[in-house]
Amino acid sequence: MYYKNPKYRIFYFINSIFLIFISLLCIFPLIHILAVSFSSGAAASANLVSLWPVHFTWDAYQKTLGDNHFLLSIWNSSVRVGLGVTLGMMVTLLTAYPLSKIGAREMKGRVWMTWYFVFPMLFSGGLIPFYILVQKLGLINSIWVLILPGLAGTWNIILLINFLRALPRELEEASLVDGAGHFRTLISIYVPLSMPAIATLSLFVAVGHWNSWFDGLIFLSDKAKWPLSTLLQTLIVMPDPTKLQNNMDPRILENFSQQTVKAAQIFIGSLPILAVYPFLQRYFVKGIVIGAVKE
Amino acid sequence: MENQPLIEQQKVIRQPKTHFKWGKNIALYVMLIPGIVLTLIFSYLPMGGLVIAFQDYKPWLGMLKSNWVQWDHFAMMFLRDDSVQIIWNTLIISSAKLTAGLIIPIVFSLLLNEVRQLFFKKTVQTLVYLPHFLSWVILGGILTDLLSSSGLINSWVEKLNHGKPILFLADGDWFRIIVVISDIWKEFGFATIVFLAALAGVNPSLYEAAEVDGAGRWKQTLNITLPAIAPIIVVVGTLSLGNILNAGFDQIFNLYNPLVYSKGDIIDTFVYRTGIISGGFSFATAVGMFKSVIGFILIALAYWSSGKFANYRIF
Amino acid sequence: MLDRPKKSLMVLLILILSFSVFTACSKETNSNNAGQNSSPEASKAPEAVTEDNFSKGKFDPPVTITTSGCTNSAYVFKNGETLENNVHTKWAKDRLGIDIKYNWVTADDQCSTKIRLALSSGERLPDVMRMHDQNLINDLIEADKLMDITSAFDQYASEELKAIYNQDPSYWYGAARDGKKYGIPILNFSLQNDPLMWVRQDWLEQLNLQAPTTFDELEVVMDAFIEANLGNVKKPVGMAVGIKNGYATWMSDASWIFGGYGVIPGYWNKWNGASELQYGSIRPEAKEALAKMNEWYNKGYISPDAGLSDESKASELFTNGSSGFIFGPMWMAGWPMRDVLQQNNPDAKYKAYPVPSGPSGKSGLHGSPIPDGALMISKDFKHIDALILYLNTLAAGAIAKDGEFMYGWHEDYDYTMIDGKPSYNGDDVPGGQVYPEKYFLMQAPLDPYHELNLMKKIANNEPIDSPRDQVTAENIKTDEAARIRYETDLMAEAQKDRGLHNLYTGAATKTLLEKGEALKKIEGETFSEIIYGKAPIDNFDSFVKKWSDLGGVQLTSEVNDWYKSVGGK
Repeated sequence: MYYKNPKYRIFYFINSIFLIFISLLCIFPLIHILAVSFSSGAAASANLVSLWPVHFTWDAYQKTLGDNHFLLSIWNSSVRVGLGVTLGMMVTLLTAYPLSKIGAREMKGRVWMTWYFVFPMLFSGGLIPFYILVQKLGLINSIWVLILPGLAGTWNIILLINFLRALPRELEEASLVDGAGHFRTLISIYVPLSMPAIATLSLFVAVGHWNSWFDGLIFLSDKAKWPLSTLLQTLIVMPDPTKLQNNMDPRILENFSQQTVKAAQIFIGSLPILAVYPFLQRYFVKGIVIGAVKE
Repeated sequence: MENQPLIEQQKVIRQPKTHFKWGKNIALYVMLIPGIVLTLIFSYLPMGGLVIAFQDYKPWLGMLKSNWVQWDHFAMMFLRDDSVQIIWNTLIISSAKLTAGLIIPIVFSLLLNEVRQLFFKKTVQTLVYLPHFLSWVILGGILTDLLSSSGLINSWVEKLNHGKPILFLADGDWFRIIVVISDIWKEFGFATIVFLAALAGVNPSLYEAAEVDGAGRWKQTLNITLPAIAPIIVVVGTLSLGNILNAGFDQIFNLYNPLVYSKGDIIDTFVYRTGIISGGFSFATAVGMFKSVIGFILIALAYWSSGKFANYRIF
Repeated sequence: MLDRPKKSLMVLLILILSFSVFTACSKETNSNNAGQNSSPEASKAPEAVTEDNFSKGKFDPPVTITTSGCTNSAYVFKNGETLENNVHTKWAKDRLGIDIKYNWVTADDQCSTKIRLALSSGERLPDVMRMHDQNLINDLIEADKLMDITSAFDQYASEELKAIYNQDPSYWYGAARDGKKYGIPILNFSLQNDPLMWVRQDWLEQLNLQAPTTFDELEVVMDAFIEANLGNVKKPVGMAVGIKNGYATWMSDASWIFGGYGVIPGYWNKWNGASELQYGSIRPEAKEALAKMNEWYNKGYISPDAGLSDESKASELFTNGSSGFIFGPMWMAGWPMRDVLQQNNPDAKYKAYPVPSGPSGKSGLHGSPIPDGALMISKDFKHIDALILYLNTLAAGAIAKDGEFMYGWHEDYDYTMIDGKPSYNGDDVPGGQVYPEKYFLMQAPLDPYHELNLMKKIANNEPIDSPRDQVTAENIKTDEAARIRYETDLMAEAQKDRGLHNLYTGAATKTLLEKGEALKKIEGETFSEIIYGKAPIDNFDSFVKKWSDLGGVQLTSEVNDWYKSVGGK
């Protein structure tokens, strides 16, 4: 086998060292941020923290977790991700499947229909008409405003088209000749075969939903409906200190410096979605799917 | 078929489409309905709002009653002393990001693909994907610290540079380099995922056959792995062309300053500063439209030429 | 291939048309929707009854005032309260019969966007909106969405409220148009954001030095500080200055360097006896100041990172001991001086002084305006009397000798009672100190000169009436930050004649809208490059010429036209 070759072994060794080095490069800033999040506000404001907390404290986490709407917002975020991923992947699969057919089963007008989906990736009317639309549809302050607009994401559709095309076409032929319809073929042949792609795209959709905060701020008037990222975003908006009147007591500015809260926010906000990734990784195991089917 | 690279499968040998029968294939059209309807409502309907690019839009007058100013906003964008400079800056930064942002994740996913210890592989994969979750507000602060005159990087630089620090973020050329490198650093791990998924789909029997033929790992990579993931590379590359005039607002906004305007001011930061003063939606819409048109032309060109010259359909 | 663009253009056109029709059709339904926002009682209550309610001091049945919430990190709650339901909203309902409702809540920095979007979509605006964005205020006035409250204010406002707002007609410039008042201005304290010179007093004492009063003396002290490096840092710096966000700013201000030559960059004024308003950045004085800054940059007084530093970033140089000088407002006594500097280094001592004077023999600094935004009133608002009753009550409460607000806003929120005496110490308040002002429709109207007058009274040992102020006077004796605050107030008062103001406070003119960004960009570029020595000082002259040619001349005449129109001398 190739990996017994001495040259390859040298490569393998260097490669491993290189990957370790790159990984370290990627987590160094995170360690710094973690240290800041556990430091006192004063130490963080004076930029005294490097890779270890200065004056260790949980304050930043307490402040964030202590918000009345915190648990509610986690629930909102979970609902958002759950609905967004499930419905989103359904629409993406349904759209990509017909558009992926080329050759004998290519549908009429396929190219035009694909461009129909590509066009909006580039052109958008902007915030104003979108807001007017959302308002006319009565979606202001409804969770659906966070979900419906993104269900047919162009990038995901196009990517899935390419993944589906890479699957051996003989399987589909066999299924269709056996009398199964397209829906059945999609569900029983294509979905199991393209799990790596589906896992990947689900991850992208989930991360996108989890991280986006702006739509929540603009379209959800009620704080109790905000997802976590939106709530966290408002916790780190700095007040303008030149506008703080009645600051007779200097202590009113105490909540002003938010470096530690900003840092804590990264971990509070990202941990749940980070935890999803390792679970999805098992779908990336090399060649497992196709290999099994080919037998 | 087995030994043919997968990209060949996707080539459409122009053949008569006589095989297409309506019958049960109607289902294909039915499947498209949800996507088409959602896109119509949430993407195409609001596109009517693009008219404000040609108006002096006032929110209380709406799109019907606001004054028409024809191409004034476009003129404002293009008839400045620094228009060329701004567009050029944008192009340089974004094309460097697009190129490196495509190549590096591919190389990295190939290197990672060689790793056989699953635990090591998964750990590396997870760690490099973390920076994607940091916002530029935070990263901008960290970078400014690292690169400041008394920062970590300069404590090394000074040893080599006769005790003089390099002001990375106050120097235009360095600024561009920092912007590109830090963007790649942040996003390459996340971008790798898609290629790893593609690699997971490569048929192992192809490697077995190559092994029998006595091909080494390098040859296998060139002849099997790369062609197998080529469709994904091509489509990711093509779609990213749509962003040719988006050089990354959040990042540059958090890092730039007047000293690097000449090399680092991009279209989006310029639009932002204009918006602060005039608060106008129209100008931003006009500029956005210009960027979209350019992006659209590039994608269309890529699609058309790959069909024409390689007989290959990207999507 | 050729007909493709045409086709898609046609499709686009059809869609645009259908959308416009769609928008037009649904306009009617929209106004119905909006009606639902106001509470049923509110619209039923007849006019005559409410007037009666005003004199009774309580609305029965209660009326609703809707507003918009703009939250930021300073919005903290206790006892499980929320913005919609807290000690203040309960008070307003029980005491005044006013139901405060939030039409929406969003982040502070998105508030203007949200109001613009609501305006675009024809949504009903909240009854009262706190705004600091002058462009948006102008838009709303132009859109005819606001109520002329001139006569209502005269009719309902208490004597205290009128006394505050009649102090100076300029308070109303932002919120009024053509003599009609459309909102209640929000007022800062006088001199609130004027910069002072903050010095590491312990370093001065250790090195046996006096606080500098001129630029030359300042250079000597900075040299001594850098030489001694008492903060024990790798790279000591003369002063903590950050110019990323401009020269006239709050913390780490640099306006006083220009002020020493008699001009403030970015401000409009009749500089050094000029006959009309001129833009400060193009005056020859600015060139001299830039040459000085370049000199200071080369000498290491100004950090090489100053160009990349905003206010907070630059202040780190002071709080981490790299530098012994920072220029900023009086309220820095609390944060960052006590809360950051002393937290990290309990031995550090700080003190404020008037800014040093330049070669002109005089000092100068950017004066901070008193009016700062306004509470704008929607045209559809039905209960202006209720709003003014609310403001009357708060204005009276803030200076009351007795009654519900004599010690503070709400017990166990901003203060607590210990043995019959009020304490404002955060550690004493059970469950933590929280400032209820955040929940107000707008901050309580208070005489902008109240704090300065109080400090003067304390200095002159005059009697103090209100219990709140008495506690402040007590605190000055015991609490260091309070004492320094008191000293700085008097210091700011002492240098108040040195404040150079921006006399152009109107809406953006036509040229400013079109060319403002380009003008600002070349200014920022030229100034930074001169300071950093990347461009020769004489580039300033070509900048002035370019600025004038680009529209600066036009802008100057527009600004002067505006100035004459509001009756400026």
